[in-house]
This record gives sequence, structure tokens and C-alpha cells, in this order.
Amino acid sequence: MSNHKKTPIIIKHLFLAISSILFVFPFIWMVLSSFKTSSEVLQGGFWPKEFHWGNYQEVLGVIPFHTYIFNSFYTSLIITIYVLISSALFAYMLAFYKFKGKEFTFGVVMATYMIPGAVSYVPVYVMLAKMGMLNTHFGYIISLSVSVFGIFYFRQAFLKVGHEIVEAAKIDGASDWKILWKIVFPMTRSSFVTLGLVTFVENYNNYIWPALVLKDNDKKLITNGVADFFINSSLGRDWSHIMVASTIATVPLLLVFLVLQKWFLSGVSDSGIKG
Amino acid sequence: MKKLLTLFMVVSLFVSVLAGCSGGEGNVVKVTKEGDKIVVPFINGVGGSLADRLDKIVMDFNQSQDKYVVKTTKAGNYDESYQKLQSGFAANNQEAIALLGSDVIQNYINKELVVPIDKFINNDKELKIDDYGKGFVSQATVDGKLYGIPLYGTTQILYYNKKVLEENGFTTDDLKTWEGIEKVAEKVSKRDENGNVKYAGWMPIWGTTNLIDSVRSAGGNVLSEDGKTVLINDETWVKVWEKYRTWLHEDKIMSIHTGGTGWEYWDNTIIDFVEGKTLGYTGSSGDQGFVYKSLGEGMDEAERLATFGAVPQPGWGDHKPAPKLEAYFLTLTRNTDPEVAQGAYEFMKFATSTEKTAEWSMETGYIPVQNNVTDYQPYADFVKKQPQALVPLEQANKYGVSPFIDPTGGKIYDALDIAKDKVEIEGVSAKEALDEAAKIAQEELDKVKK
Amino acid sequence: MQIKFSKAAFFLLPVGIPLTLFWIIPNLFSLGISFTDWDFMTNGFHFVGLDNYFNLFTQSSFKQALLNTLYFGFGTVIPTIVLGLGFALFFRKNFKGSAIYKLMIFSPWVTPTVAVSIVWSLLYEPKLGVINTVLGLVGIPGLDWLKSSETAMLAVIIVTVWKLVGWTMIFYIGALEKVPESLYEAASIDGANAWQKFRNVTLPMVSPTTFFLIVVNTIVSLQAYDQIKILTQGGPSGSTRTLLYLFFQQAFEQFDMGSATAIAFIILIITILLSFINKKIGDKWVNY
Repeated sequence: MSNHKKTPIIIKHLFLAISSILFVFPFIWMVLSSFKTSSEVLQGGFWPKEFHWGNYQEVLGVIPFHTYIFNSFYTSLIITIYVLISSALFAYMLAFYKFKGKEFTFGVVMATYMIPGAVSYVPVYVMLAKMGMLNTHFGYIISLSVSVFGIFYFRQAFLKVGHEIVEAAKIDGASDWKILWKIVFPMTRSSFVTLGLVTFVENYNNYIWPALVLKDNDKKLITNGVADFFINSSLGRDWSHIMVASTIATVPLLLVFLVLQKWFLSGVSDSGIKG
Repeated sequence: MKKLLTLFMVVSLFVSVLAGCSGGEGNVVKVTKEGDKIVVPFINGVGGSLADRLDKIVMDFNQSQDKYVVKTTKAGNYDESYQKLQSGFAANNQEAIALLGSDVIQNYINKELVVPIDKFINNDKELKIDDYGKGFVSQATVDGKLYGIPLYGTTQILYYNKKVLEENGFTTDDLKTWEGIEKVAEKVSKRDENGNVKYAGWMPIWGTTNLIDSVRSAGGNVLSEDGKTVLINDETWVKVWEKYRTWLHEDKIMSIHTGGTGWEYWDNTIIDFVEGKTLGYTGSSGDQGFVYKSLGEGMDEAERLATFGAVPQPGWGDHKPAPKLEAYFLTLTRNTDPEVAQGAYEFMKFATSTEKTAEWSMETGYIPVQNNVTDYQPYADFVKKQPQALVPLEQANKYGVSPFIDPTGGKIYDALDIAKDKVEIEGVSAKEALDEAAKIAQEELDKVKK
Repeated sequence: MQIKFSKAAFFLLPVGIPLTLFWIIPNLFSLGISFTDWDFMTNGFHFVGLDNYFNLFTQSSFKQALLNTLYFGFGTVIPTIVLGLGFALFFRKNFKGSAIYKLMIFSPWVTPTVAVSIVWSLLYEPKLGVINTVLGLVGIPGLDWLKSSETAMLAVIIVTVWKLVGWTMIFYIGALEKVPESLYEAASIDGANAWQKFRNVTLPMVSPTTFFLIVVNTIVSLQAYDQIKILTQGGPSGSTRTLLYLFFQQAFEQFDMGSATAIAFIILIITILLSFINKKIGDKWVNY
């Protein structure tokens, strides 16, 4: 009996273990390579012959990564908070009220979601310039302060709460603001966590738009800092340094994710779309 | 229908309003000051270690006088700097000085994004434009007006291993024609048991530029003289490209690095050369610092100087070599405040003086822009020690031709780029690849010419 | 429910204002540009009607990019959905170690595409790269990956799928948890085998999630740029140049804004078309 049952379990674990290792292999290789010499990286081996801890010192000496990471963290955080609140308000209206032009509004929101963001780069750039907000974090933040996905996602989550509960609270005399934060929010908390993390990760990883808007070195984000380091550097690059830069860009977010994973992984699971 | 019409009206309105906003006449870019000094913004795409050297020139300029302060906007490479500049033009807040390459400057002039600087030169008794290399200046001149001062020039030359060449009984005379190089490569190249190249007889650098140079050195050209017909699948083109394909894919006497991120393929080519995996390669004048100093392992500088040499690009048979001579120009953008413009001009003059251009050239290997640079003692001493440094200058003066300017704004280059990958990477026959490219290029050219 | 204007404004404007300012107006503006020959910089421009659109269809670079986009789109979305669901089936019930596996499979999604793409570009190196080395160990001849037009798109797709699988899986796990156990029991009583249970219970029950994930992943794949920029820059021979990549080249390298924005709106039309087809198919078998 026990043998009969155990074999599939072992196979399952073996399969999952191999697949998961494949998924994280690029990270492991990246971190190990960051301790190699440049030519060792190009030779593609796995384990470093010798750990060159100095690589980190050398790279950190040239590039203000702490500034970049700080910039990325704080701009992403502000955007995330604003997106969460504003999307919740908007989605609340879409989910629980009927008003003229509601269908149209939702249609516009969906259409905007489908247009590549790049289409609006130049017009938005011109607009920011007119407002004198180029090369400022404020301009960068407000230009990204809407998450169309967020509206779509919250609307789905709120619909599941059901009209009846909202109507009942209304009859008890609760204001919409209260209903949203005291009744709807607790019921959809995991959706908030999910959208929060998605928005944060997406903004932290954003690359083209900040490259266009933020020019000064002390305003740059980590993705641009890293990209500058490898795409743009001229001949004679040190590949181990590039691996250091990639590691520095990647690891902080992985750590944040590791800490928050319990919330996150369950967040997506119990909400969002039905089914 | 009515809705559609309204939408169209609204859209047209937006376009007109925003068009009005951006870059109209008399819409001068705002002047900013730093203390008493007028800020002169400068954008360039000079990357890596070269950027540090350019920074030093800017710093020297800022210390040399107390009226202006030049502030640099950095971009990692030329394309990125053009993108940023383009956005700046759209918002009418572009930098006053822009560093533009030969390939794009004509385009900017035609669109009136950069303005002539003749009046500054005429008012200036010290600067004489005739002191600058003629091949450079002509590339920035349209209808008798000058739109930029060259900061540095570049051209592709051959780097080769002197010792290996000699051991195999050849001299640099054998590197004067492509036929000669073919013969040398056949002799020195080695293959492993699978037929893969172990030691390359030559390494062309990946890219269309290199191939266009080669075609023009066989008497070919991209467009007919009247500019109406694309010639890129004529006999000369097919012959030259087919040779490259044969060398790389059939005879396996040469090899090539392709793809990768940014300059990876170029890096790898130099490393292979320095580490003794090829007799030579076709590279840029700006490679000298890397070939003779920093890239690759196993040799110190003195040994490198003794081992590696440089010669001008070869021709085909009796044809004269016709390598393109490219330059990067300091230009003045439109709608600049007169005071800022004067400051911009002062910087252009400072940065391109005999002394500065000589120093820049010694550090980077790029071609100096002043004719009298060899009279400058430190430079004269330098080339005595490093004779290869004069090769690009010599090639520029003797053979250099203006780069091909794509009238379609990049679509002919694009078609050629695809064809060069087919030939250089995939080994597709040159005829097939070029016929297809010619068809696309002709269509695009017709659109512009109609 | 009835609503007062002031309250509606309070709820709608925090999104409404930036949405109008940074999305709707610029997009309408770009739509306008696609009917002109303007380059955003010079003063004059002409309305050229639909010329930019017609011109695209005679351009072979556009046709190639269109095919590449479809190849990339299907090549990314289908494996992502299949693998995502496949992995999720393992995690329908929690077991010892499942959290760690989930975490590892999900982690690529968290990381910046720019940074991980450079790592992949080294793994793909034909001569000394890890991937070919490992393939060599098990006796499979290595591929040229990014250096050949036949495999470059495959390589880009692998990176994209690698990034998206975990995220898709997580959504499926959520959906699977909500399938009532009783349905499986009922199927067992009817004598259904594992495949029949999957086919008749699981698939229909998660179909709304599948629909959602296909839409989202399609949009994500049509807007992929970072990995292409770093891995191949659209090459070799234009084999990985998608419509969005062509948009960037025409807009920012060739100054051809009119034609570039026309491409962008064709991307939009394709997205809407695909979503519509997806919905039509979905209406037939999605179990709401």
C-alpha cells in the first residue's frame, strides 16, 4: 500500500524540484557570476574559481546604486498608494452605481488598457515639459498615477461583494466613503494586497518611460542605472561588474517579495475574478 | 457618422493646439542662470570612458572664463541622445548645443532644427574654418552655410598582428587589396576537426557600415547619381557581399562576432584579436585605446605596441579604397537665446582647438579635426611612439569619403541591415538577400521622391 | 442608486483627471498624428488621411513585424497558459514544500526585465553559454539561439514565458481552490478517470480565469519591449522585430511619427480583435 502511494509522490517532488530550480537558475548563475572575473563570466562556467568580493566594492564605488534604489522604492511606493486609493474610489462607482455614461466610461478605460503605453510617450512628454515638470519625480509620479488594470481588477473584485450588502449599509445610513473602507475593503483586502504588489513591482521594473523623463543622475531609477551600465557603456566592459549591477537591481525586490509572499500568493488566490 | 465627425474635429483640434505649442518661431528656449553665469546646455551620446574625457573638456571650459557654464545632459549612446534631443525639440526645451553625427546632421539641417553658425565665425578673428579638415567641414555645409564644427572624426581601419603576418611570409603590401587579404587569410587560418574556424584569417566587424565601405572600395554605390535608383543589388554589391559570405560560411577562413547587447560583438572581436585568435580585424579608429591598452589578456602595453599594427582599408583590385569618413559635430539648435548661442559658440571653439583636439585624439584614437595638429609638439612626440595613431588621419586625408546619407530617414539602411544579417550570420546567398533589400529600398525611395 | 454630482466627482476625479490628462488626451492626439506627416518637431504638417496606414501594408518590414508579433503572441500566450495551469494542478491542495515551489516558479515575474534579460543573453551564448553546455551534456546539439533568425524568436519567447508562467499559475491556483470538491466526487462516482475529470470538471470551472488570463497575457505580450531591446534589438534579419519594436524604431530612430502612431493603432486593433475572438469563443464554453 505505502509503496504504491509513495512512488507518485516522489516523482511529483522530483519534477517540481527540477522545474523550480530551472526557474531560479538564472538568478543563481547571476549571483555566482557577480563574484567572477570578467572573462570567467564570458566562459560561461558555473562555480567561480575564486570569489572576488571586491567586484561589489568597485561597482558601488562608481555608481550611486543606493540613490537609484531609494528613488525606485519611494516613487513606486507613492504611485502604489495613490493607485490603490483612486482605483478603489473609481471602481466603487463603476461597481455599485448607475450613472449616465457609465458603460462609456468603462469602455474608455478598457480601450486605454489595450493601447500600448508607448503611444502617448511623446505627447505626455510635451505636456510635462509645458508644466515644467520634466526631470522631476513629481512629474514622473503623476504621469503614472493611473492603473487601468487596477480599475478593471477592483471592479471585478467589488462586483463579487454584491449589491445587497452595500444597499443594506446605505439603508443603515452609512456614507459611501464609510461603506468602501469599512465594508468593501475588509471583504476584498487580498485584492488590495495583490494590486498593491503588482503596481509596485511594475513601477519598480519600469524602464523606458523613466529613461525619457528623468535625466539627472541623482533622479534616475535603478533600472535605468543598470541599463546605462550595460547597454550604454562603450567598449571594454567588465562583465562581472554587469552581473553585480544586475544582482543589485534584482535582489532587493526578491527580498521584499520573499517577506510579503504569504500575503501575496494568497492575495491573488482568493479574489479577483470569480471562478 | 455624426459622432465620428465630432471625434475627428476634436482630434484635429488637439493636433493643432499641440502643434502650436511646440517649437514655433520666435519661441525662444528659456535661459537659466547659475549665479551670474549663463547656463549653456549641451547634449551628447558619448559613452563610457570617452564621456569622462569629454567631461574634462567641459570642466576646463567652465574654469577658463566666468561668463558661461556648460551643463551636460548625458545619454549612453548616440541613438539615445538623439531620442532625448528629439523629445526636447518637441517640448521646445532642447539643449543649445547638440553633438550630431554625419549620418543625422543633414536630416536636422533639412528640418531646420539646427541653425547656421557662420555669423559667429565671421565675427571671430581667431577661428579660421580652413584650419579644420575639409572632409569634415563639407559634411556640415549646406548651400554654402556651415551648421556645425567637427569635434572628432572616425573611420574604419585594419588592425593586424605584425608577427603572424611576417612569420607567414607576408608584408603589409598584401593587405592593400581584399584579394590580398583573402590570400593571406587562406594561408594563416586554421580549422578544428568539425571545420569550425579555430584561428581566423580575418574578422570583419559585424555591420552594414563595414560592408558599404567595402562595396564603395570596389567602385559601387548605394544610389545612382541622380539619386533615384537603388543600386544595392547590382553586380558590384553582389560580388563583394558574396565574397564575405564565402569567406565566412564556405571557405571558413574568417569569422565574425554578431548580436549580443550593445557593443558586445565589438568587444569580443577585439578580445579575440588581442588574445591571438585572428590575424586581424576591421575596426574603428577609436579602438586603439582598447587594442593597445585595456582589452584582452596576456600582454602588456609595450608588447602590444610591438605586436599589433594598423593599416588603411584596402580596395578591390585596382579600385581605390573608399572608406567612409564620419564626424561628430557640435551644432547649435534652433530658437536659442542670443547670449546662450554666443556661449555655445565659445565652447565649440574651445573644445576643438588644436590643443584640445590633439589631446582628445591621443587619448581616444579618434581623428583630430585640425589640420595643423602634427605641429603641436606633444602630438608629434606621441605619434613617434605610436605610429599607428596616424593611420586613421592618413586614411581620412587620402581616401576618406562622405558617408551615405539615407534620403528615406533610415529605411534603406534598415533593409540593408536585414540583408547583412542574412549574409553574415545565416549564409544566405548575397544575390537573394540583396535583391530583396533592393526591392524594399526602392519602394521606400520612390515614396520619398514622388 | 441615485448619485449627487459632487460625490460622483469626489469618487471619479482622482482617476478621471490623470486618466484624461495622461492617457486619453495623448492617445487622441497620437491618433490625430497618425493621419498626418508631422514629426513632432517641425512647424508644418499636412493631413495625409489614411496614407500612413495604407503605406504600412505595402511595407515588407511591417508585414514581417506583423507576422512576428502573431508568432510571438501565440508563442507566448499558449505555453504560458498551459504551463501555468499545469503547475497550478500540482498545487490544488497544499502539501509539504508546496509554498517553496510556488515561490520559486513565481520569482521571475518580480524581477526587472532589463536586468534578467542580460543574464539570459549570456546563458544563450552559443559557444560557451550554460544552456548549450547543458544540452551538450545530454547529447543534444546546441542551438545558435539569439544569433540565428530561426531560433532568436524562440529564445525571446522562452524568456517571456519564463517571466509569465508563475503569475499565471497563481491565478489558476486561486481558481482551482474554488472548484467544489463535490463535483470531483460526483465525477468519481460516475467512474470518470483523471483525464475525464480534468476535461469535464476542471477546465469548464476555471474557464473564466482562462479567459481573463488570455486577455491579460495577450496585452502583455503585444506590449513586450524590454527583453527584445536587450536580447536581440529586433534582429537577426529582423526576425524578432515585433510591431511595438517597429513603432519604437520608426518613432525614435527614423522620426517617422505618423507612420509610427499608425502602427500603434494597428496594435490596438489587433488587441481588440483578439479579445473579441477570445470572447466569442469564450461565450460558447465559458462557464460563468
